[in-house]
Amino acid sequence: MMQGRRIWLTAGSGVMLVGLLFGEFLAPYPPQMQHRSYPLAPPTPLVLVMNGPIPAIAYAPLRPDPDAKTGYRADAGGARRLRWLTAVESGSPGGPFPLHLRLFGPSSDAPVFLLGTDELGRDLWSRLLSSARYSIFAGVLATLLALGLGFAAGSVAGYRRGWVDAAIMRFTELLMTLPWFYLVLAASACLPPLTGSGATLSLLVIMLGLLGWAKPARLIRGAVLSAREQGYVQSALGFGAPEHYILRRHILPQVRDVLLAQASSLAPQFILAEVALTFLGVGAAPSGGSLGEMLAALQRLDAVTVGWWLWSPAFVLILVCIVFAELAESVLRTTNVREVR
Amino acid sequence: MSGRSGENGIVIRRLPVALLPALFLLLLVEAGRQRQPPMARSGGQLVVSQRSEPRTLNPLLALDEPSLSVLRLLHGHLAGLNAAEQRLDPELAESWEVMPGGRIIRVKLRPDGRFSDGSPLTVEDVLFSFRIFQDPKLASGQAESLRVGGQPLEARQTGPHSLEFRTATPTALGARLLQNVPILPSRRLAGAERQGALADVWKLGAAPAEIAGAGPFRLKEYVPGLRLELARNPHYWRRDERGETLPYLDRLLILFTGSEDAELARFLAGDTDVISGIRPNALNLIRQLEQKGRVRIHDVGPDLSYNFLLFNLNPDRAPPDPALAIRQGWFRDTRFRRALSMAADRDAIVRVVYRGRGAPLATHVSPGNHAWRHLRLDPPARSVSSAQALLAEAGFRRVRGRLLDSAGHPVRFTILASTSNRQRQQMAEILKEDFRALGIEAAVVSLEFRTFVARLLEKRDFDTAVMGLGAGDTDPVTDVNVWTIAGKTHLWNLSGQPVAAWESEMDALLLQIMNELDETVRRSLYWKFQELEAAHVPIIPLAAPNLLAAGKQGLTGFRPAVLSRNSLWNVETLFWSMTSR
Repeated sequence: MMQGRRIWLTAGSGVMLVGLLFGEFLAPYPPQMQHRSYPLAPPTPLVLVMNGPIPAIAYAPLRPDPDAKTGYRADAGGARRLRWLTAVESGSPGGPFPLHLRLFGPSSDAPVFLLGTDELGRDLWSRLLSSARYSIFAGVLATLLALGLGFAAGSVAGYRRGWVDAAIMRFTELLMTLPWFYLVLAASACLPPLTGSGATLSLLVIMLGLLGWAKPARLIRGAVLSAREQGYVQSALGFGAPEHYILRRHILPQVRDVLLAQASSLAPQFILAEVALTFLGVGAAPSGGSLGEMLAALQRLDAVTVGWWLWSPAFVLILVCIVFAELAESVLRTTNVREVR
Repeated sequence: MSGRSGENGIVIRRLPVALLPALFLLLLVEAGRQRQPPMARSGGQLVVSQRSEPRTLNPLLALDEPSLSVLRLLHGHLAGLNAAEQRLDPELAESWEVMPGGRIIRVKLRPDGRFSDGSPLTVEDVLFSFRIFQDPKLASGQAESLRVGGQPLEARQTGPHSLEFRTATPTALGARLLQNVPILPSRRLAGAERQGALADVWKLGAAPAEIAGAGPFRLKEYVPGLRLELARNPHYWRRDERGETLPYLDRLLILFTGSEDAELARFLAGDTDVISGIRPNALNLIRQLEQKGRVRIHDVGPDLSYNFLLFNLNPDRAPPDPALAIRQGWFRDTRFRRALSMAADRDAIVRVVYRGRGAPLATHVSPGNHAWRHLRLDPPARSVSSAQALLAEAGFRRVRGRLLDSAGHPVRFTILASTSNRQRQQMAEILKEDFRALGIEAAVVSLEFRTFVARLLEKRDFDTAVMGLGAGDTDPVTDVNVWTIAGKTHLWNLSGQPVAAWESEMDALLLQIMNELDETVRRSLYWKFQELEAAHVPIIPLAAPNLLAAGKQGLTGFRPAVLSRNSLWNVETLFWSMTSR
């Protein structure tokens, strides 16, 4: 049982990591590229063709046909071979790399859409790789910021105690009572429209981080407080050990587990928050897309009923959340920290 | 229409030759059936949907489309729009005559007009209605449209069934002045008028017996949040060729659906009988029903609305925003706007956003406006190279793929779109990619509708935005609010001051069209207006969607038309044919 879970966890994180690191390489098209003759095209079927002893992967391309039920029919020209390791133009003019190496690409006369296209004819597979990366990156950055702030505030409060502790803790309580999601919504409506997805990303990360540090701060304070009261810490203090030594040698190791466990539970929350915001269409969506922005296509009845392939971002989101949840589980199991959730 | 015959052509080519005689026979039978119109039959009910509830049933207060469309069914007017023919037909007025000089309209009233409570409709009611609708204290939505030369319309009785309207200055509006004022029963409302309580009558929850009108239907029941039930007005004036009283339908049920998707779902489930303004992507779902023979889809062609990209041409704000000022420097250059217009792939917008059910636009006048569109202006063909040449001429240069202005600033700006309209968001996405081909970095920013409008109208701190505007009429008078410099919806420059010579020129032309009486002169002036628009590109016109509607099989007389958004303009002549129900 335990073994099976670990294998799944490893496999899941492996897939995620490969997707995150090699997304551009795995995608046949730039994520924002619009195939304007192919809006809402269903996934292109893959087939195996025997060419000599070794079977080769090919695809059966689709052509627009207004009379067909889905709007597309199989191309009369038959299956085409995938081209491996191709170089294509990158989506960003003036960037450092005008060409990108891709794992695979379509043959020259018919496009391939592994997961179909969206309403603008953008390849969902390429877009999924880029938008999952954006969403996870935003979530993880926000987690780091929240943990950093939480650690600073929590350890100061726990170590110094007294009025500093009281002030910080009352402030975190206040922060936790605020409906943070609406705060973020309101904030993004007030801010001027920004150009460039970098600016949008930093804004999002800062907003999420500033509103999400309260809970880790309280937990870290608790851990610091309890560590400080341990007999060996008190003895070390009695022997005249300096403050930085105590912090580094005795308190940090205790807090580290809390930090890890919090990280694995906060990250999926922040990823979901980013997805929720872009799903509602607040602020500028990155040109490479975000999971929420992709899911927003499902807000319409016709897309839900006709374009079943548009659900793919939901499955990626589920996978990401499961991987993080499992990660949190295993961190908890190995550290025996009970109170962190 | 031409698309459909093309499809048939393919079918015939594929059929074996032996089947041709059978096909011929079938065509003959079909033709025979076509010759005999189905016999009109009274009775039955029609279930329609409306996305929002009306806010009031008081015609004096109604400003919103949901209220106005319900009130159109309850009240009669002197003249009514024949949406299919794009002309005005006499209704409660039997006839009218615009006197030479363009200031006087003589109207002869129908002698048999009655309200739904059975009381006769007289000249007194007409005078009363035009008086209260122009009462400055009540500030009705119609008051502004009745003002000519800044003065209200004067009306006076000239005979037992005739009266005369007089405007302060000559106007090209003519009988259009008569189409917006519902004729209300003066005897019923005189008391309220004396007490100054006209604004308090006929609220949404009012008892059906309180309300009387001269429209085809009368109020039967209102269930908040759910539906409005109308019953046939037994005293309606109109009869068919056989002398039978109209409307044919006994009941009209209006369901409130809340959203576009819910409206579609109700129609797909068979809860409603007609649907109008279908988005092209949803058409596939309805086509499945059509193939089963349960509904019929009507594609009326491009409607009168226009979607466009507008630039922030507002003169500098105080305090000026230096970054915006630089961008506005580009936007004010006609060559820059024209280059962007050339780069816009309008055909792709029609193909992707409207699934081919729409038309690219050369100016804001849609091809659906047969009478007024400039026939020799075509939408600019997409040409990135001419756009680049034009930009180079305007001092822009391309460095490592990026477009820089003459001072070296990289050209980048935002395109605002409202989250409430996915189609316009998609247009913005398409434009963004088109502009990227010129080396311009554009970012699409989606905002909730109210925030979007506030940015455009109040804060004015935006670069460009994708917007859409509709028109309720084909005549250029509907442009006044948007296209004159003083207009309240002159979105790209709300300062009231012209930003360029061409803007003043267009303004003057439109005002001239307003006061000109000769239709031919008006048309040539309006063509000149459109030529100016195409040359100076104050906005980049993109595309107009087709009006798509569908009705259940067996509903006869259903004739959706671009001038009637809900396709119910001829509701009194609709009936269910014998075979259905």
